[in-house]
Amino acid sequence: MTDHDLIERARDGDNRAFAELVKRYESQVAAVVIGMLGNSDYADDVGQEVFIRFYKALHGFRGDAALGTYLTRIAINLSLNELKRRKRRLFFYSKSENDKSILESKTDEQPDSFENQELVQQALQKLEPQFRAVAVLRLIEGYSTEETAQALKVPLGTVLSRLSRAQKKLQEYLRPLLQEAV
Amino acid sequence: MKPDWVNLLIRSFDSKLSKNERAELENALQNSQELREEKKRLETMRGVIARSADRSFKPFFAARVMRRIDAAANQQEFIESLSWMFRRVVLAGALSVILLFASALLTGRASSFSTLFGMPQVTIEDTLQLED
Repeated sequence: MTDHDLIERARDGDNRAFAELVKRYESQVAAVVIGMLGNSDYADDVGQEVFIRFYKALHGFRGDAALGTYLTRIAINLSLNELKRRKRRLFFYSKSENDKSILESKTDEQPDSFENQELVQQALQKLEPQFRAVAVLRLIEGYSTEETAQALKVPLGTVLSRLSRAQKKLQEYLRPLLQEAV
Repeated sequence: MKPDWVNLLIRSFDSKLSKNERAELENALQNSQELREEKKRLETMRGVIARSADRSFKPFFAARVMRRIDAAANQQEFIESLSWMFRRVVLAGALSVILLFASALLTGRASSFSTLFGMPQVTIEDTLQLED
């Protein structure tokens, strides 16, 4: 069944059709939200909010953009809002909860792929949000630079310069991992 | 290795280079072992990031979303029925006042506050006198 069919059914009140759409796009939204916020309860909440916003906008969704693109835009905007809120919270609390979760989740028994995932997550979290957003869309979601510029509503030149700086920083942060891999 | 070459190399992954830039990069790659290694590192890094992205929420994510949607729908239903009731109470109240007023007019009684609501109208002066 196509996305269009499922959207039509969900509009008619079929919640199972909507649940199917959630399952279909969960991984795409997760990649954006977790890339932006790290794997935390906040990410899960923001992920849920993405689909709730979509549910509320179901009747107004005209399908001008592909559903994946539409959800990615909501995901990136909600993640950037959450990062702003987090920044305000950090003004009051000296230690970030994100740092805490990274330290707590590290054990020696985890397999390599999990360690890589953690290292990549940590490296992404070290980037400034505007650089992180570009890196997530381009390097993880595989958006073209034009699509990234459209999703973030910034000029193409800005995307290219942010991407260049983000890659230099990531290379620096991931140096040990890259030395092993090369 | 010139910094310009590195910038050109990074750009080559994400945008179309001009003919001159492409020729310059190709030439630099042929002549610099360091730049070739840098290219390999960049390719590896981009691959590692793409492969290592965490693409799943905690289990039963869809069920959690649907639970929240149901809860929001129930809340919306409750608010709507409350507002439905409120509208009817206000309408009934307004209708009663109009009927009372009309009945007072039709029966020829004065349409004062006391006739309509069965209580004397108290002014601020009356209140002050009562206190004395």
